[in-house]
Formats: sequence, structure tokens, C-alpha cells
Amino acid sequence: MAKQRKTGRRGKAPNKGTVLLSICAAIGVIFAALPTFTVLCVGLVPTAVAYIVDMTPGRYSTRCVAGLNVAGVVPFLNHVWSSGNDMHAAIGVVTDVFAWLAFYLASGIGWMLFMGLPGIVASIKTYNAQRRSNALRERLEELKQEWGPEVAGTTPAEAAEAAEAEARQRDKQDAGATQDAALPA
Amino acid sequence: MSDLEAGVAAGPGGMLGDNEIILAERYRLLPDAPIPELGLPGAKAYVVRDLKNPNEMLFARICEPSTFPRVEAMVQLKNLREANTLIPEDWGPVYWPPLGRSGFSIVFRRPDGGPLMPSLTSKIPKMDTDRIIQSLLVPALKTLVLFERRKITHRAIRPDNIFPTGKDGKTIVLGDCVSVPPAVGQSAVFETIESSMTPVAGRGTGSVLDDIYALGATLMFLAVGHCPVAGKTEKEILKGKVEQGSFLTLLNGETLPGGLREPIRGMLNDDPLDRWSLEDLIQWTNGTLRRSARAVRDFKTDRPFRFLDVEYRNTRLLAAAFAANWRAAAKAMRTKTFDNWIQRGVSDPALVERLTEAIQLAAAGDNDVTDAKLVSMACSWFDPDGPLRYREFVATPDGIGHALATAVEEQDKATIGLINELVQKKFAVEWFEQKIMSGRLDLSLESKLFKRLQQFLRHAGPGYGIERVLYELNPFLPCRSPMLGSAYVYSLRDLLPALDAVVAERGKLPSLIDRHVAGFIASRIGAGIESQLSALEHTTGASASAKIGMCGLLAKVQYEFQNQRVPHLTGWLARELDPAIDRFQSRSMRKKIRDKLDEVAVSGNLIELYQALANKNALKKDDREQGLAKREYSEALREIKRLESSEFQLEAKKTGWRIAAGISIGIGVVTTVGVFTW
Repeated sequence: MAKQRKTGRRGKAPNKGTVLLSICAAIGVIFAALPTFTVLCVGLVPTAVAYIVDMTPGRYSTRCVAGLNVAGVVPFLNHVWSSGNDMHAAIGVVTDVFAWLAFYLASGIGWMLFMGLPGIVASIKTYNAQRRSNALRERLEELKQEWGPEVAGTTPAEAAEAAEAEARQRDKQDAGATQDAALPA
Repeated sequence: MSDLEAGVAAGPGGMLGDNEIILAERYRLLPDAPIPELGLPGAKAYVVRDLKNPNEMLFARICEPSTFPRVEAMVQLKNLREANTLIPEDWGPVYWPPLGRSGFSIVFRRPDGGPLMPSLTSKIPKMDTDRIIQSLLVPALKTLVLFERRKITHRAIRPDNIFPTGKDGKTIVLGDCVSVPPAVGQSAVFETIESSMTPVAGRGTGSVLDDIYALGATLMFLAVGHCPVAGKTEKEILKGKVEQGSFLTLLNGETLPGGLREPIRGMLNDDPLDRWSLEDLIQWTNGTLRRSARAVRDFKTDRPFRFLDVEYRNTRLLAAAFAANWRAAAKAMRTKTFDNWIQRGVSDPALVERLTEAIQLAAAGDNDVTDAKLVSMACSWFDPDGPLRYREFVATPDGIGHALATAVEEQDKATIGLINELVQKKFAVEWFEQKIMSGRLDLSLESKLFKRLQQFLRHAGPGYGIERVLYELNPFLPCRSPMLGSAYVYSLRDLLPALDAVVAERGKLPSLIDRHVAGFIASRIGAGIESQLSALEHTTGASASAKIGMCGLLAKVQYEFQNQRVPHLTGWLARELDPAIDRFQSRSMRKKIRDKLDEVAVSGNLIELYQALANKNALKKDDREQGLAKREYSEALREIKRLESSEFQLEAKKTGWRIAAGISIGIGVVTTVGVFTW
């Protein structure tokens, strides 16, 4: 049994050969599509940065930045592909200031979306929740009126005791306030 | 209570003006005009005027509260005009000023003359044989035949309760037999041995054979012109009857006319099986009878048995002595002396066998109940025709009801307890079954009745218990509840008006739940009140359910008598039952019911009052809705908590991020697709 487990663990461990093969394949692809890789490496820097600094659960900032960053990069990628897909065209793009403007402007809009929209959505939802909560409180009061304190799971005696304690507390506060008012200035 | 109110509460009869009491809108009863010679102990006689027929000579007997008249016999007698006995013209409860409360009144036609013999100690001229036969025996037999057909007995045949009537005074009528319970007021002289051994309260209605016996004694005294045993005590007479026979004892050395000797001897036969029957007597009056004399069961023993320093040579007397001293009897029965005596002194082998077996069985359990049962059974075997004897209690099978009524009236807790034990521990049923086995088939109804009564004693709540037994055994007994005040309520019809009058006077009833009222209603209504009785039984008296149960019983009574409106009672009940509204949890429902009660309270409708409070469907609905409300409350509370929690804020923020990410990715996808498409 122990042997089997050991074998199983060995089976699950990354195969060195496979890793090597993957690296080789990736290097192959990079060299095969070097112009595209160059444009993407430069163009998707904001996304990479967002990924690094993203502390949100679910990496929402990365997603927000990535979507618009991609939208900013794709037209230039298309230009590279439509200009012969060579390094010359790729270098032309990565040295184009407008291209950089497009990459970072789009990413900036992504950041703005990430920072601004949740606040608006939360405000709307909180407002709705407050309205619903008020309506529910009114309903609770109605139920108490109709069925008495027992509906809240408290016995009438407990309810009376709670009311009495509340009244005592209020009286105490009132007495404190009166005492304060009576103190000489 | 004012007189008028009391009169109304009393039922159909009422007091209309000063000293003017009208019964059944026809008979004016005059409390200021008593007739002492017609009075009985517990039922005095007064002059009555018939408003429809002023020339009619009438009198009324007014029963005192402790005297229970025989209403069932009155109902039978009312239409029995051909019987030669005083027939009740009408009856009912009336407010009676001399009593200061209501009493039961019975109106009779007044006989033309006084009683044949004013008292047992009086001496009158001897009546000749022909007159006795034609004027008394023949009409009395005709009357007893009519009585027997209707299954009623007279039980008050005696010379001072027989009256001459008609212009010549030759016709004779038997006196009243309904004003007092059977055999009450009857001297032991006119009672059979078994009845004489029973206290007056427990003698019961008996049978026609008891009437024949009393008639025989009456004929004897009229024939000799006086009572030959008037100077003897009842104990002496009883001893004499057992040892020498009734005929010789009562005759006490006097001489009877030859023509009457044979029938009177037959009528006074101490063996009920050998006593002359009505048929025998009718045949004898027609001159066609000749019965052969049979050996009389004398219950004598071959040897005497000494018990408490008295020697007994007769098992009947020994049975009476055993019953009077049952503890000593139980001890004596376990001695070797008793065993020797039954083996040598008792000639009946079956009796010896039964006794030996019973003593052996009783040896295992040495307690009061076993002892009482052993002595009781022994008494029953020693005196097969005798009464039921259990500890200190003695009664004939049909006299237990009256004995209980008397015990309740006298608050004799010991007797009430004994009757309770007798029924509950099945001893009465066992006694009846033993008698049925030995040929007393007439007791099978009683046996069934007592089996039913035993069920009532198994429950402790109001509507059951000894009170229920009391009213079941005495179908015409007035309700003994003290809260009815001075009212006389013997019929369910009179109960609600009486309670209403009490509330009108005092503003309330002393208590809502009353065992006598509940037992009275339960026994008179009978079926269909199980749910109300169950509500009374399974709760304490103070609970709302019990009060509603009692209200339900009263509502059932009103259902029986729909035209009775009782606004005072209903109003008080509505106030009393107000806390019962709190059984409903819904405030709006409570208000609705409270409004309904206010409306019903003035209407006097108990049925609606009960329906408003005991609506089980409404209660179930209320309960169900309360459950739903609780669930809704807790869910709403949870929802509020959720809406106001920091998790909700975070979730809202997450939603914003999701939307932002969605928009961003969407723009990315659209741009990519757009660029590569165009």
C-alpha cells in the first residue's frame, strides 16, 4: 500500500522531461512568432504590473486592466501581422509613441473602471438594501402588533423585563443629564 | 332572591301574589291551610283550589328538599285513572314560603274520609271478611295488576294510608305512593324480612311481591281491628319473623277469621318464591284457587353458631349479624370453630363447598377489602333473598340509588365512600352476577347498569365520579348543587332558568365548574358531550379549557331547550370566559371574538357564546398562522441582518468589480473580434 502511494506521488510529480519539452516548445514558439511576442511583451506590461500588484480576491483589477489593455494592443498586433509579420514591423510598433499611448491609455481606463465602478454599484445596492431593510422593519413591527412579543421567540415576561430594563436605562440617562444640568458652571 | 324570582327559578310553578302559589296555571296552593292528618314525614299536606273546577276538593303534598318524590311513578300514574289509588293530578316545583325555598308539590284529589286506621297503635272495629275482600282486596289487586303492567310498585300499603271514598264510604282507595321514596315512612311491620333488614334509605322500589306482603299485613290488622305487634320493637319483630315466620309473628296470638287465614298466610309467606302471587290471589277471590302448601325454606342450621356471644340457629340472622360486625365476622370465619360449624351445622353441601372455597381464597389476601368481600359473599349465601351487604352498607339491589341520594343529602361521606368502592371495585357487579347465576334473572339490567357506572368512576373529572353515579341511579333526583340556591331543579329544563336567576340575584355564580351541575347535565343528556367532559377532565378547574367545557355543557342544555334565553348567565359567562380569548394569539382575532362576546352577552345565547370560544378550526388556524408569522419574523430579521452586514458591503463591492471586469473583458473581446474581422 505504502509502495503504491509512493508510486502515486512519483506519478503526480512534474516530469522533468515534460517540463523541458514545454520550455523547448515555448522557446520554439517565441522564435517562430518573435514579432508578435515582442509586441505583446511590450504592450501587455500594464497587465503584468496589475497582476503583480493585484491583492483583490479573484484578481479583479488584473481582469479589468487586461481586457482594455488587450483592446489597446490588438490593433497594433494586427498592423504587425498585416505588414509581413517581421521584426521590422514589430520594432516599428514598439517604438511608436502612439502605440505606447494606446497601450497605457486603455490600461488606465481599465484601472479607472476597477476603481470607480464598484463604489457606484455598492452605493446603489446599499441604498436598495436600506429601503428593503426599512420595509422589513415595518413588517416586523406589524407582526409584533398582531402576534405579540412571542412572535420574536420571547415570552411576554421576557419582553416586559426587556422593556423595563430599557426604561431603567433611559431613566438613568435622564437622571445623569439632569444632574449634569444642575451642576454649577 | 325575591320570592317571584325564586318562583320563576323553581320552574313552572310560581308565587304570583301574597301567599298565592299557582301550579300549572290551574292549582292554587294555600300555604296557610295545612292538613295535618294527610301529611307525611317530609311531605306535608296543604289545601289546594282548582281554578278550573272550584268545587273539586284537592290537596297537595309539598316535599321537603331532602325528600325525593317518585316522579317516574307519577308519570305512569297520571293516566291510570282506573287504579284504586290516589292519582297525582299534577306536580312540579314551586316556591314554598313555609320552607323558605322551592319544594316539589304534588296535587291529589282529596279522599272523602280519613284513613281506615289513624295509626298503628289505634284500635278500630274489626272489618268483616266480606268487606275486606270486596272493598279492599279486590280493588287493591286490580290496582296492583295495573301497577305491575307498568312496572311500578306502591310500597306504601298500610292501614293508615288507605281511605274510604264514595258517598257510602264503601269503596276504598290506596293512599299516595309517590310523595316519598319507596318504603320510606313504612313501618318494618309491613316490610318483608329482607327489606326489614335494610335501612330505610336502601330499600328500593322492590317488586309486586313486597306490595302483596304489605297488603297481607294490612288485611290482617284490619281483620283483627288493631296491630297485634304495635308494642314490639322493629328488632323484635324482625327476629320473630325470621324465627317463627311473618304470619305467626304479626298475628301474635290473635285469631283471624277463617275466610282470610289462607290468603293472608300466603301473602305473608317469607319465601318470595312461595308467596302468593297476584294471579293466586285473583283466583282465590274467584274461588278457583287451591295451592298446595310447599315446604318453607327456614334457613335453620343443624347446630348453633356462637358469634359475639350470641348463638345463631338461623343463617339469615347470622348474615345480618355478620354484616353488622363484618371485621369480627371475617376473623370468625377464619377460625377452626367456624370451619367445624359449617361442616357439621350447615346441611346444604353446596353452601359448605362455596364457603370453604371462599375462605381458602381469602386466606391469601389478609386486608380489609378481602375481608369485606368474604363476609359480603358469605352473607349473600346465608341469606340468598337478603339485601346487598358490603361492610357497613346495606341496600336492596334497586335501593342503592336512593341510599346514595340520602347519603349525599346527609353528607354521609362514609356511605358515599362505600358505594363508590362497591361500584368501582366491581363488587356490585360480581354480586349481581352471582345472583343472576342463582336464578335472579331480573337483576341482569342492574348488572349492566353497574358495569356502566363503573366506567363513570374511572374518570375523576366533573361530569363523572360519584355525582354522575348519583344522577344515573336517580333519574328524577333534583340537582343537589349548592349553587342553585333555593331552586328545585329536577328536570334539565329548569336548570338554565335557575342558574340565570342566581346570576341575576347575586351577579355571579359561586363557581363556574360544579361537579353536581356537570354530573346532572351529563346523566340527563347522556351522549354527545364527550368533548366537553374531556375538556373538564384533562385540565384543572381554573383553566380556560375547563371553563369552556362547562360553558359547552350549559350550551348543550340550551340546545335541548332552544327557546330558553339566559341573558344574565350568558353575560356573566362572557365576562368569566374573557381570559379564554387569550388562547387566540392573533390580536385582531381576539378583538373580533371580544366584539362577538359583547354581542352574544346581551342576547342570552349560550350556544353562540360556546361556538365563539370553542371553535377548534379557528384555534388551529390561529396556531398555524402564528407559526407562519414566527417564521416570517425570523426570516425578516435574518434578512435585515444580512442587508446591514459588512459581508453585504463587500459583496456589493465584489459585484462592482465583477461588472467592471466584465465590461473590460467585453471591450477587449469586441475590439479583438472587430480588428481581425475588418
